[in-house]
Amino acid sequence: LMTQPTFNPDLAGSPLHHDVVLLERWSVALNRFKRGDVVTLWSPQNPDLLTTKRIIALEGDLVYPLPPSPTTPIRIPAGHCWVEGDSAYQTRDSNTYGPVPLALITSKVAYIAWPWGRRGLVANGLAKAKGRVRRLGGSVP
Amino acid sequence: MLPTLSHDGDWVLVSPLPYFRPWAKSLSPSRGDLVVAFSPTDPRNTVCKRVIGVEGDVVEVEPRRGTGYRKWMGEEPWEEEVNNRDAVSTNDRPLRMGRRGEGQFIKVPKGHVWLAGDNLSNSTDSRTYGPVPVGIVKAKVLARVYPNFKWLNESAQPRVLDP
Repeated sequence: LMTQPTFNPDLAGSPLHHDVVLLERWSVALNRFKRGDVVTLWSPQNPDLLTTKRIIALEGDLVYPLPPSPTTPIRIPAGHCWVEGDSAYQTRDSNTYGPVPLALITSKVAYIAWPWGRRGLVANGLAKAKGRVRRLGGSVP
Repeated sequence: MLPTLSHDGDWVLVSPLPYFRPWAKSLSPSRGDLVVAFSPTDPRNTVCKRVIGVEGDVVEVEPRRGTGYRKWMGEEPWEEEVNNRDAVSTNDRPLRMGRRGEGQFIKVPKGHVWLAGDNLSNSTDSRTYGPVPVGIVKAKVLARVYPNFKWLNESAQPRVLDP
């Protein structure tokens, strides 16, 4: 359910048709993570579950989180990142489980292949997290 | 990882299969396993640690005790007298919690494990960076191949403290 409306916007209407995306593993192998990328990662709460979130902040950055997290700004530790789902209403992301280690990220979601009408590159961008991140860290690597 | 493994020059046999379905009954590492994991502080590095606690376990953050340990950790002379007095209760737990986590217990959250090196005096592990998600664990260390071949499969049972 992540990332409605970026992916699966019509899930309620046609629950059999999920988006088909292309995953790209070179970014992970070369350790190139950019803020705004959509990535797949193993969930910290359930190691068998692969989730899709957007990287909002990298190590060293200051993040102003949303509920259910306490509202004090959080500094991302070394080797970690802050991920959030795009949905404004229902998402379990770093606001629930805190910064996640970069080692949990398996691939970057690069391209939507199906449905045909929404095919194209997945846009990089902070989405709903605009204004809640201070970029005090550098880029990775 | 002394004395189990040397810090330089040992060759080990690792395998991701023990934690990989469909062969594995339990996909999580068990207590006492030697595992190889990505470092939580730098995803380009791997670390080799032992799993001390699995999800739901209550682990003691810093289990080391004793006069030698306190001096080694740089205890100041004025602290020594204070620390000697009633430092340890009958249960072997300190009455005064230490700065490094002596006597402090933490419950390992769901989906996480607590890693600790065998050489506690020189190991950066969960005592520094906390419990790590199971997804970070790459493989299990099965044996040390060189210099002396040895299967490494001890398991650790939790020591039950009096309630």
